[in-house]
Amino acid sequence: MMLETRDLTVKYDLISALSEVSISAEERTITTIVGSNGAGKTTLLKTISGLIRPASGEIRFLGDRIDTASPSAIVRMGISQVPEGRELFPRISVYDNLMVGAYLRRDKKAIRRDLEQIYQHFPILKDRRRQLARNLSGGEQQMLAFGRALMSDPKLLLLDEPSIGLAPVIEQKIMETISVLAMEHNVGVVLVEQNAALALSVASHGYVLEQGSLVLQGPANELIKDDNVRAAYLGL
Amino acid sequence: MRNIQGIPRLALSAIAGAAVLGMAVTATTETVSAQETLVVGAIQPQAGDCGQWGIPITRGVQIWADQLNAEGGLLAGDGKRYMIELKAYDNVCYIPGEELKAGRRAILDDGIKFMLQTFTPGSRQAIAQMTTDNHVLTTSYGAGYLSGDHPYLLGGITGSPAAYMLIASRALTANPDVKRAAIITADTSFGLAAKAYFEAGIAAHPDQAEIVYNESYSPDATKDMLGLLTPLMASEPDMICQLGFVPAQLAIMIETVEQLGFKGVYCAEGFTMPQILKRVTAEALAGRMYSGYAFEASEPTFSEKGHQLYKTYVEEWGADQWTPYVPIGYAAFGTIEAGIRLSPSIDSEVVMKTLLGTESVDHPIFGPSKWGGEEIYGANNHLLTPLPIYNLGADGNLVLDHVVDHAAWWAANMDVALPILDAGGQVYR
Amino acid sequence: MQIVANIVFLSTFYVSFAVGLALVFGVMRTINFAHGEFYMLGGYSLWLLFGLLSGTMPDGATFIIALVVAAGVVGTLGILVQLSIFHRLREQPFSIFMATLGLSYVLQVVVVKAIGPMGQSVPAVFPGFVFFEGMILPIQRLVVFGFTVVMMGGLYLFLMHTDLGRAVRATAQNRTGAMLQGISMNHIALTTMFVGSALAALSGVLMGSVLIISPFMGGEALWRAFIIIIVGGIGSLSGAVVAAFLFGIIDTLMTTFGAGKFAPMVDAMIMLLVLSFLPSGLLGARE
Repeated sequence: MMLETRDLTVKYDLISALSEVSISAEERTITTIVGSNGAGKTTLLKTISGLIRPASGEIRFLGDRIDTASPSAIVRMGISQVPEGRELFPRISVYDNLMVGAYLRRDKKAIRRDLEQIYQHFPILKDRRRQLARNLSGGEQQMLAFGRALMSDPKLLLLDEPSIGLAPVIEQKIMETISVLAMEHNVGVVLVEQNAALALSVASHGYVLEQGSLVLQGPANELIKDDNVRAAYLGL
Repeated sequence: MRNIQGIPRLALSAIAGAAVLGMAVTATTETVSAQETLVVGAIQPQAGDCGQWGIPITRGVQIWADQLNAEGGLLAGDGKRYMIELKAYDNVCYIPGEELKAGRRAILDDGIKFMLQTFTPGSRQAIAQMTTDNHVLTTSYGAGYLSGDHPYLLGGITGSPAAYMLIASRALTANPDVKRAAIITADTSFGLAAKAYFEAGIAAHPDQAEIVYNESYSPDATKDMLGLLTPLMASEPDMICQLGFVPAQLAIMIETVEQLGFKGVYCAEGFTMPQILKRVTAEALAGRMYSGYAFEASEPTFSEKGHQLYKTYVEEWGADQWTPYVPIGYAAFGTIEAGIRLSPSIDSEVVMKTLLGTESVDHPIFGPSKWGGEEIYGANNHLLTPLPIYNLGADGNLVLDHVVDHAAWWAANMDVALPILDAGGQVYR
Repeated sequence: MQIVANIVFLSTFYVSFAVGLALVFGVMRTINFAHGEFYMLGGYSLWLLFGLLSGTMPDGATFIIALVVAAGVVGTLGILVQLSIFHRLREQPFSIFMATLGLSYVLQVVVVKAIGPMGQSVPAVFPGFVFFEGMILPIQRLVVFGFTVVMMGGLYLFLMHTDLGRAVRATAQNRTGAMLQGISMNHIALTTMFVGSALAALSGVLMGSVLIISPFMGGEALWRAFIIIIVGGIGSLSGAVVAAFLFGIIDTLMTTFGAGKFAPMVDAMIMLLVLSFLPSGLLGARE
């Protein structure tokens, strides 16, 4: 098991944002967590990245406890996140944004090679590499956020609502790219989405989170047929 | 009290506040406590750039008190000895509004009855009424502003701004070949006073010299000394009279004009030689620097008692911290000292009346001196002490050049000088 | 033409002093009120080393040593401030304000006690003037100008062309984003405080060679620097440089035409106007 959370509980002040959430994710696999707004999906990813400390429970990555590690150490171990709202660096260039992604790496040759690969995936980023990040369109910014996350050469990629605010055509394109990346780069993906239909269509395993607790889990192709899921999240 | 100097204003306020609490417990209508201690005040800048004047002045006053205390206290006319305790009050940078705040703390909060303040006319006017209402005998190292309505304000010594007039005049008398005078002063209340008095001193030599440059600068402009001095040097002066630069700035000014080829004489209230000699050699400047304020304590011949001040100061603070400003508060308090020695009571009203009623006051540094000031201030409350003027010797020490009899100079040149002082806004009668 | 020279000299002073404060504020979102005293300590480093080394080596060498020593010592002091004040009091801006203001008073008093309240000056290391196109250019000023340009160039190279510098810029723009790239906030804070404090000290050494070194020299400089970084746009180094030149021009012209005493007032009014109509400053981020 690549990533595993066990009975993870997170509290804001005294209110539980997550209660006893246990999930796991494998490499070369897309694992999705669906749920409505405020269900705790973003909190879960922030906790895995070390931005929030859990009140109880544990997180293991490749067998090691990471729930007390610093965000920096977690990135160094190979977990990279494309956060909600992208969190780009607006007033530095596309190239610099990508290179900040490689901040912890010292293997210059490999960095260059990864950069070229990202440019191949997203040629628009190469064309605009000298522009400031804030001058990109929404879809381009999402590509940049991906590219930046990949520049750390991650083993596990956490994606928080990558489709939000994008046109349906671009949404579809992003999801395809995620699938390809998972396979080509040999990474595990944890995909958090409000758009459950879209997420479950690319994922192999899924969890449903409601008000901080897991209510359902299973293979994605089964969840997508589940009546409750169809009623609550797919609008069918 | 010695370590009060240099403590920032907040801390000083806290100390003053604590002092008020202390006073509340022991407050009486008398100034004198049971221990026969006389608390005196000094309103001077205690921090900031102007602290470069205020702190040495305050230290000089502290040494005045220490010297008296070492004798067992000041022997007053009532036959008792009083230990002197000094309290310092910050006026930020001789700003009238701050002078008023400091005066309130000293007079209303701490009940001070004898104190020192600046000669800066605006600052003297700011607290004049308070000194009168509360009978606070207030000396200064010069007159600046005096009034018949405010008999508690004294011009304790010749000092500022009168000295500027006498220095400029002396420099011209001693250097008959000097023809082109430049005046550069700060645009503050004290700077404008200096400007008028320099003009008056030069005007006393109408056949010899003309004023070729006469400008005031904002203290903010001193960051760029060059911008300030290039127009001055363009007027080709052979005498530069200056007031308002802090000691190190004056050193830079002298270095700059020397490098630009100035060969004439300087006149100023004082030269802080340790600073200047780091930049320009004594041989180059010898015989060209005229200064006088109270007395220069580093010079041993004028006053033996005063020279002791220099020795004590240098022992405590180091020779490179010596400035010509140390003796001025010391000398100004000498006038109050003389009054207390004469007065049958140390009540400040009695001391004031005794002092002003004495025709010739025996000042501890300057000796017998007469009151004057009527023509300028409408009141004879300015003690016209003799003004020793100094020049620079080739060995880098200041040497006594001449002692000006202030009263005699004024009698001889009043007709020329008074209209100029009036035009400069310095006549208050 | 002299006015042009004076504007350049004054503006480069403003730049050298303000840029360290702008850097610290931009990255850490806190103000170090002791920044002015760090500048003052730079000035005293020069003065003390002159006293110590004068005669044993060429003055130019002493000058260089002073730059290195001041940057190292004061930069280390910046690190101590980060560890003892900023880190412990993070999320408490008022406590940081009081603590650094207290530190600035303490440093002033320490210098007054140890050295004295009297302003000091250091003899010109490179005396003399160059007369050029009707301008009088003191060589010392030209040297200071040159060093300031080198200092700014070094800062530019650091920020634009090193990984650490890039991380500092990224952190200034988006802390969460930076943390998610594995950038350690503690590491960036220490780096920024070292560099920002060292810049203040370098500015102090450079200006100490042409101005008065006094325990209180930091106060006025700090006030001017606030105006500059507010008008330039908080957190924007290029904005600080533009604003430094703007005020260099205004202050020089006002001094030259005899209105120098109104300069602080005019500068403050410009700041208020900018705050009213361009709240993010001339080149500030408009997020």
